[in-house]
Amino acid sequence: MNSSLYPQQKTLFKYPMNGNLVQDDYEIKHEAQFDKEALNDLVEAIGQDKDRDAFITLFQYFAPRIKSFLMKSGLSAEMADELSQETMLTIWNKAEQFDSAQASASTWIYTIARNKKIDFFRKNAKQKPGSDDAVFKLEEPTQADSAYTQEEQNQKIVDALSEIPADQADLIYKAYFEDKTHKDIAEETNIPLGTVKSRIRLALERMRYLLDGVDL
Amino acid sequence: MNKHITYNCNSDIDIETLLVEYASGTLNEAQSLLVETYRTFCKDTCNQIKKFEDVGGILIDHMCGSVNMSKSSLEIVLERIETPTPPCRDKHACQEFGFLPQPVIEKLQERRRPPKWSRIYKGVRHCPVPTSAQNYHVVLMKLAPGSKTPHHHHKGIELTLVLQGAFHDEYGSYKAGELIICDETHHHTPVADAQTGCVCMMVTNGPVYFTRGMARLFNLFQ
Repeated sequence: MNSSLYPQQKTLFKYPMNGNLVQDDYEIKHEAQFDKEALNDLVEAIGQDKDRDAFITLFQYFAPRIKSFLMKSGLSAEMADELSQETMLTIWNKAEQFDSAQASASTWIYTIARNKKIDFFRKNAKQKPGSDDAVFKLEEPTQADSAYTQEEQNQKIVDALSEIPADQADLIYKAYFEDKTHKDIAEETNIPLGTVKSRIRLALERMRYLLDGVDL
Repeated sequence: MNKHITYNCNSDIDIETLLVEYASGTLNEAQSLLVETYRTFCKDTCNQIKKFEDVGGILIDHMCGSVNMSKSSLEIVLERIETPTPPCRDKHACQEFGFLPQPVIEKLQERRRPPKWSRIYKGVRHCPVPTSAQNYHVVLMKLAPGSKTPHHHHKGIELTLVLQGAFHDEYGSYKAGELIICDETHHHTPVADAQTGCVCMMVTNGPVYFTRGMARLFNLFQ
């Protein structure tokens, strides 16, 4: 039941080392905050200069998130690992096309990971197992706070999400992570479809409203 | 946003739901193709999708936690980025389809054989677009100038996106880039514009029934 998102977030900057790869660099980079601009810069460095160090930094920051995202839609750890690698490879290959004026790096990466997931499910057209126990925990942002205090922007996002009523946030979670259509969600939760739609819409509007000043 | 019109529709589908489901990756392949094509006509639609995708970006960056990658994953990927990607297999030329928006062309290129228009009725040609979406059908329709499609209705939801030219029916007229959403209670007889003719993409989730004349014979083949 409790896969609270926040405790996991707390370990963000303590991602264990892989083998003996540039341990020092890695440690230093991970103390840095990755705000929107920093992420955009990393992807641009990869696109313009084929910068391997930037890629390694981005990998270490984003691959574990992508893996977590994929696992939430029911993929095994092994498959999620493989698709995360594929996602990172596509990021490397397509980074030249990235345009921070069009979308932020996290949005761009999200769409690549999402498409990998879609392709996977289409190729393996079978029922996607849903995870019943995942709950969008928004009521207790204390630990996330401590991880993000230096970053006003991150703080705002956490605030925005925690201001969304739990029933709406839960639906967003199902829609974005568990691959459920509005109709699936209505059936699963016994909430009328119209209500599901309006709650999701309200939550998305609210997020956009709260985040508008953040320039996402 | 470009014009989109909804007829007699129950609340199951509306343009915003299509866009949210597209952005969150839950829309079936057939309707996704339509949304992807629709957005090529309309900047507002692009922006709206992007906002919904921004939410995905925020969620993956800040809200979904992280799971350690396997030990050798970084080495594997670093090795792979050094290896040049093999060239894609030759794609169909799609000459007769070259005027269509890119997402449609790309989808047609996934077919094993080159696509072609085949005649189904006087002045009416079609080309099915196979997708993995169960129960959904995507078909491109090409109407010669002034030609009429048979009077028909359909089970389920029908999405029609005008790709080129224009058409009108008993209820209104529609031009390139416009989307019509209707359900099974909507019976109509589309007529292509007398000058330009019309090319549309139709996405249905139920069979189409022709209701008049010889065209009824087509019902036998569905």
